[in-house]
Parts: sequence; structure tokens; C-alpha cells
Amino acid sequence: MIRGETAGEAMDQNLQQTVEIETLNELLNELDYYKILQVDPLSPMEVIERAYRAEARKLHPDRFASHPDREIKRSANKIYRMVLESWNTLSDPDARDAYDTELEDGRRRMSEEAKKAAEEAAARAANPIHAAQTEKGLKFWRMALRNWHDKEYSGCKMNIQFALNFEPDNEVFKEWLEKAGAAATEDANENRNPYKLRIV
Amino acid sequence: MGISVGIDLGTSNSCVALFKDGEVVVLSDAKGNKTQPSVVAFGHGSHVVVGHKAKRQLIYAPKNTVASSKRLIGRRFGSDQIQRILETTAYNIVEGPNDDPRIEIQDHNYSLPEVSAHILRHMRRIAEDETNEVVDQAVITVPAYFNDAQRQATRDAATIAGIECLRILNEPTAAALAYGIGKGHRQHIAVYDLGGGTFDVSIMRLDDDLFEVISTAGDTFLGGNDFDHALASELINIFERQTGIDLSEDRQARTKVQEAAEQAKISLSSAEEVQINIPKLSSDNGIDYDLRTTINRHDYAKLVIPLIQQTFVTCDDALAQAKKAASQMDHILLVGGMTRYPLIQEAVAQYFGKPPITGVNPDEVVAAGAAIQAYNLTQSNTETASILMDVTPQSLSVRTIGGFCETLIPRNSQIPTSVSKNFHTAHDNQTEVRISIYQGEGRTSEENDLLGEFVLNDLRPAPRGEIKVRIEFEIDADGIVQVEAEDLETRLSRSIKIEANSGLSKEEVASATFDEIGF
Repeated sequence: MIRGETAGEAMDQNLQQTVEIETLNELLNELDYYKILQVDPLSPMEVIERAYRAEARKLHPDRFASHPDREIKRSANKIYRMVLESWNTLSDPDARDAYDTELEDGRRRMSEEAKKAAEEAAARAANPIHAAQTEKGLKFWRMALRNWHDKEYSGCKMNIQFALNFEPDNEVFKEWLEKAGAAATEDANENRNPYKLRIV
Repeated sequence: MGISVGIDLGTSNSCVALFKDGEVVVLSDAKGNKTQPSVVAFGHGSHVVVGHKAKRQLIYAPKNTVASSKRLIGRRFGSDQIQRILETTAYNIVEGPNDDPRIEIQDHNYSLPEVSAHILRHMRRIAEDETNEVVDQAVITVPAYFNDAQRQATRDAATIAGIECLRILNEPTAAALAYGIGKGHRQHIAVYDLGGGTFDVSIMRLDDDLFEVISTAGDTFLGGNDFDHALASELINIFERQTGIDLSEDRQARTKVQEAAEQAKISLSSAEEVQINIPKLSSDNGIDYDLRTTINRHDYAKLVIPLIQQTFVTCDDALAQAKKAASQMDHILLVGGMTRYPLIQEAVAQYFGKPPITGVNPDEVVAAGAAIQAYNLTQSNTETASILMDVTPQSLSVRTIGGFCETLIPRNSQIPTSVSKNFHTAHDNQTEVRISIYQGEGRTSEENDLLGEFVLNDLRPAPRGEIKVRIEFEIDADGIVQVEAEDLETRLSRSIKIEANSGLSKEEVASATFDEIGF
């Protein structure tokens, strides 16, 4: 059960541990107790207990005793405490029930929030006025949109170009510039009809 | 780079072991002794003797010879336990600068970590002599029921001795590791550890290479010493009945009686009765009086049965905490020199309903486990090492209004663990918050041991309750408490070490270490 090893093996182990801990540490805030123990939320107690022992065995701070990186040791310690916390809650049937309810509520709340956020995002996308990011950009953008509404395509084009001076990377502006450009060209073609009256 | 050993720093005896080439070797001195008395004798000047030689000095120079110092380490001078001990030790104990006991010998005061450091250094020398290698790291064992201050003081002792302490390991856990390694199958065991000065019981679950402590309970003031005291008191009573002389003020005579009591205890483990004969124990009006009496097993049992019963009260508690019955234990592991005695073995067998495991040396098994753990912690490849999951023996709490203690980390929580709590100011314009940390099971702070206090200052003056401070309490793998505070307004955090709870400040430990270079 205890065997000798080469320096190469030890280095591989350190590297493997580092990758594992860094990945887990990044995800830690998003993981619930079931995910930490890597079990299905509907698992019976025996499965959770086995999983807990496997995780504890893998993540115990003593495994990192000779790891050269202090930060990794700290993170491993934190993750191990989360493993213990997960087991302490899930091993007590009452605490597990309460946690499940909380988790369910949390998920519902999360999904409601997500829905709301998605709706807001959609509304934002529907109203192009929100595309402007700067105050000055917004000023010309607003004028451009008014021009568009009034079918003043060349004015619209010019105002978008002004707006782009302030926000050169604004993809929405660029998109609309093309649209306005095309419309203006079409308009110009139509304007060849000398009888068409311009409404000022 | 030196080697790492395991050291069992016992109340009566200490032992050092090394794990090498897949097996444990218990290291012995030049005379072949595998354990050393934990006795430190101070001679003239800086001359210090430790071990068997020191124990011999106990009889003729009791005032300069420190035995059972582990009973004092990490305790406050004003505590009941120290006040009780003051009456029974031959050496002088005085109050140190941090409410810690110091041992006064020839106008010099020694702190307890310094005394323990002498023992550790002695053990290291034995290990170095036998292995011809430099020993610079060790796993050091302590009773499972030791609190933060006692653990911290033991760590300080290692620092003073120039040894890097890899881990403070609980004695029953160490014993289980030595016993259970390679046993493979799943089992529950109870470790009954009755040493020279302390009693611990741990309920454990072994599963392949995973050693999990479910609960632990103990009494840091119950051990072989108390068995000897019980017999010694009886002998002193007998002497008084025979001669009318009261020995309670005569330190030298008491040391002799104590020694005789210990010898009698050893004899009674094999003999039915023992003759006690101390010539010239005392004199009155120029006439010498001897102590002569006979003690048989039955007499002895009557004296010590209350002490044995006390251990089972502690066992009841540990089992209740683990939610197990005595009969659910697959094996009972005996640890500590006291468990050699048939009287104890029989009582344990009766309590658990099965005979304890035989074939484990109760004096060496703790050091052996410590040696295995030292190996585990220094291996670069830890994938194959056994894993110990231990618990904190006593609840950690903070003092709240009215002197009550609010538990933050309940006892038998697995370690390492942490918990955080928000504190807020109680008065307008309060610029500091004082936090007192306790260990123990009492509801009020008076019933518990004060671990330390710290003050968070420089808070912004504001109406009460507005300033919030988040404090994180952590118990590390050594069972030692770390505290970190964060001002929630400024997000400034600082870590606070509870200092001077062992009797020595960081500076004192450093200066004690420095002295050693010239030693």
C-alpha cells in the first residue's frame, strides 16, 4: 500500500492535483452539495455516503501535504471543507429535506430571474435605441433613428456616421449604416422621378 | 535534509519511532530501552538530564526533577486543575507572566513548553544515535481531548527543540493507524487509551485506507498517576495509623511513597499481593520509622474502581456522540501503559462485551502510528497514503452578552473545518470589538476554558449596529484554532493568531530557541 516512486511520478501527481483543484475551485460557487459529491440528487443514502468517502479520500488536505503551491493547498482545504459540509447536511435526513426544498426554491427563483433577464434582453434588442453606449453616440443615434422613421435615409446615414465617430466598434450602428445606405441608394433611384415632391 | 519520525510525548513515558522500508521501527537508547521516562532533572547551571537517569534523580532531588509535566502544559495557573496539582508535586510551581504555570528550580523559572522541549530533544537524540541520520521533522502526538492551548504549547515545545512539527496527531488516532494499516476490511473500533495522565476514548470507522474518527471523549486529568495517588494516599493513611506521623507536608517522604505505590501497581499486575517496605520513611524525636504493609489485589481494586468507572462514563459519552452501542464495536484497541493491568482489561472486556485485541504493544503503538503519519506527510506521492479524518474534541464558542457561550463549532466536528459569523457594534461610535473565544461544553464562559481574546480596532465611528465585522474561525488539521476577521465596510481583512495562550509569546518561543544554539 505504500510504495516508492520516482520524481517524475510525483511531478505528474502534483500537476494532476493542480489542474483538478483549480478547475473545482473555479466552479465551487456554482456547485450544490450533490454536485460537489458528484451524485444524483435522488440518490439513496448509501450512494451518497460512498461518494462522500471517495471525495474525502481524494481531497483530504493530507493528500496535498507535499504539494509545492500554497495557493493550491489553500484551495484544496476549502474544497475539502465543502465536501464535509455537503456530507454533514445530506447525511441528516431532516437537513437534507430542508436543503432540497431550498435548492428547489432557489432553482425556481433562478429560472424566474433568468426568464425575466431574457425578456429584458429581448426588449432591449427590439428597441434599437438601447444600442448606443455613450452619451454623444446616443444623441446622433437618436437623430438617425428619427431620420429612419421619417424615411430620411441620407440624413440617417450621416447621423449614424457621426454616432460611429464616438462608438467606432458598435456593431448595431454598422448594421444600420448598411441598411440606411441601401435605403438611401434606393431612395435616390426613386428620386430620379422628377415629379416626386419632397415633403419638408 | 533530515528524516521524519513519530514521537509519543507521554505523561509518564515517551517513545520515538521511524517508518522505513515499509515497516515501523521503534527506536531504543544505547541500553535497549524502547521508552523513556518523561522526566527532566535540572542540575547545577545549565546541566539537564532527561529519561531514565532523570527518573533516578526523582528520589534524592525531587525539588529539581520534573515529572508528569504534561499535566500542566497549556493550562492557566489559576485553573482548578493546576491548583489541585500544586498540592501533589514535589517541585515548585509559580505563576508566569501570562497566567501560565512555570516551574521554579534554583531561582530559575521554566515554562512548560521548555520542559517538554527537553524531552523532545532527548527523543530526537535517541533517534539520531540509532539511525545515524539528522532528525528535523516529527509528528508529535497529544491526547485527543487536548484543547487548543495544550496543542499550541506542544507545537511551541517542538519549535524550541528545533524540530519542525509536521502534525499534532491525536494519540488514539495514531494507535488506530498503527493497528489498522493493511487490515483492509470495514470495521468499527473503540480505542481505549489510558495513559499516565490522561484518558481518551475514540470511536472510529476503518475502511481500507480511510481512518475516520466518529467521536472522541476524554479526561485530561485521569491516568496512571491517579491510580498511584489513590494507593499512595492509602499508604500515607496506613503510616499515620501505624505511627501517628502525618506525611502530607513532607515532600521527600511523599515522593518515596508515590514511587512505592507505582512499584506496587506493577507487581500487582502479576502477583496476588505485594509487600511494601520503605525503611526510614520518617522520623520523630530521633527515632526512624519504616512503612511496612501488605496490599493485595482486592484492596487495590477497591481503591481504584471509582477511577475505572469514571473511564466508562466517558466511554458512554463517546458512544452516545457516535450514535453507537458498545456492542456494535467490532474491536477494542487498548493503548497506554495502564491497559497492561488485568484489572483494566477485565473491566473493558465486560463493558464492551468482548475481549480487547491482544498483541499490540500499548506503550509503542502510538509512536508507531505517528511514524506512519510522518512518512505519509513527507511523501511526494500521497496517492497511496492512508488518510486520517479526525474531529475536534471540544466545542468552540464565543462569549456573548451575559457571560453565555454561543457555540460556533460543536465538538466532534470533522477537522479541518471553519465557520464564519458576523458581529456588529453594540454602542454608538464604538471603534473596537473585543471577541473572547472559549473551548468546552459549558453554557457559560466560566465553565469553559478561555482560549484567547482579540480586539478589532480602528472601526469607523458610527451609530450602533452599523459597523459589521465578519469573523471566520477555523480549526486546522492539528486541531489548532485560527481566526480571520474582515471589516465588512472596508473589506479589509486581517488574520489574528490567538497568542500567548500556551504561556509563551512568539518572541519568547523564539528567544528560547535561540538560547538552544549555545547548548
